[in-house]
Amino acid sequence: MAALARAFERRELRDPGLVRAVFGNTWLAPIWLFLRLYLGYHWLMAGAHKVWGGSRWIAVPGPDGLGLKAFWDRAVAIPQQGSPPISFDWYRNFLTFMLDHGWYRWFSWVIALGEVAVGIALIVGAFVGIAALFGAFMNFNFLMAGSASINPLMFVIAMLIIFGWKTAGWIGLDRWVLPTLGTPWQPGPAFKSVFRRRVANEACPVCQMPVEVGRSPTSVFNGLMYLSCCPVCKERLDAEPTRYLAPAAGTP
Amino acid sequence: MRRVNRALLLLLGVAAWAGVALTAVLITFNMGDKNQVLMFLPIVAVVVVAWAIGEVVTELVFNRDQGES
Repeated sequence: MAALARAFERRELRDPGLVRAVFGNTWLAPIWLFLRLYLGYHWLMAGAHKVWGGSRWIAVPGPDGLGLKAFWDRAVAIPQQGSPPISFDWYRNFLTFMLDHGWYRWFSWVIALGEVAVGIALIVGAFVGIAALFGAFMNFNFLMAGSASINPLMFVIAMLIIFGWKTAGWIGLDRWVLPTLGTPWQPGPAFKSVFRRRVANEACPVCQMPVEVGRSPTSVFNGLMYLSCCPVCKERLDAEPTRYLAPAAGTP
Repeated sequence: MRRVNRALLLLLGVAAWAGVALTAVLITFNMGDKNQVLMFLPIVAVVVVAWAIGEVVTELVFNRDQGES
């Protein structure tokens, strides 16, 4: 039991400096900009072919999604010789189910408009991590359906952008959007009023300096949110919460 | 800074990024993939210009106010 308790006790494993420099520092923002625009451009181009092109998938005379239907038909086919495009039976069954139910009619809209949306989000740098995640999911599905093309390269770039979500949109709208919205563990000014009631302290538990909702770093213990005056105090509080929060426990 | 001026500056910042999206869509949809480099460069250029506008707007609307108070 002691070994199990020791194995699962809470430990925060810090990233090494190199990882923080690459994925969490704005000095590499121009490189992230290049990768982001390259990926966004390709998604926008792919979406343009499906929305706008001569062989577009949607808004055509007759039923929509015939291009997608042709793609799925090729993907689920099992040739007499050689290996089929799809390696996993469950994925072939999944596509066959969608084909049999005619889902290509509405799914073509999802894919076409989704590709355009991901492309625009990556180019303007808004919610870059989420956009890259959706893009990677589409790459994954194209790859599972046996279509390689440039999907492997796009998937790798998308994964890198997901890891670097904090700085990948720095030269973009995320420069302003992320600090305003904040994160679930550190809400920004936009959510100031939402989280105001849940904050447990009015002064920094470490040094007793005043704190401000929406600006001060936050930590959560026992379901309550505690604000620290600065990142250094937050680190001390996170490392030894019982030391700094114990005196306040008895107070109402 | 007067409220009207702040609103106009913020509108300029939003318009700059809306312009980026519009430019990217127009370039991509109209030019196809004939020359990827020629398409890529103007998109990079408008992003950098919009970002610079955003930085100037942020400085004028927020930082200057803090200095004055």
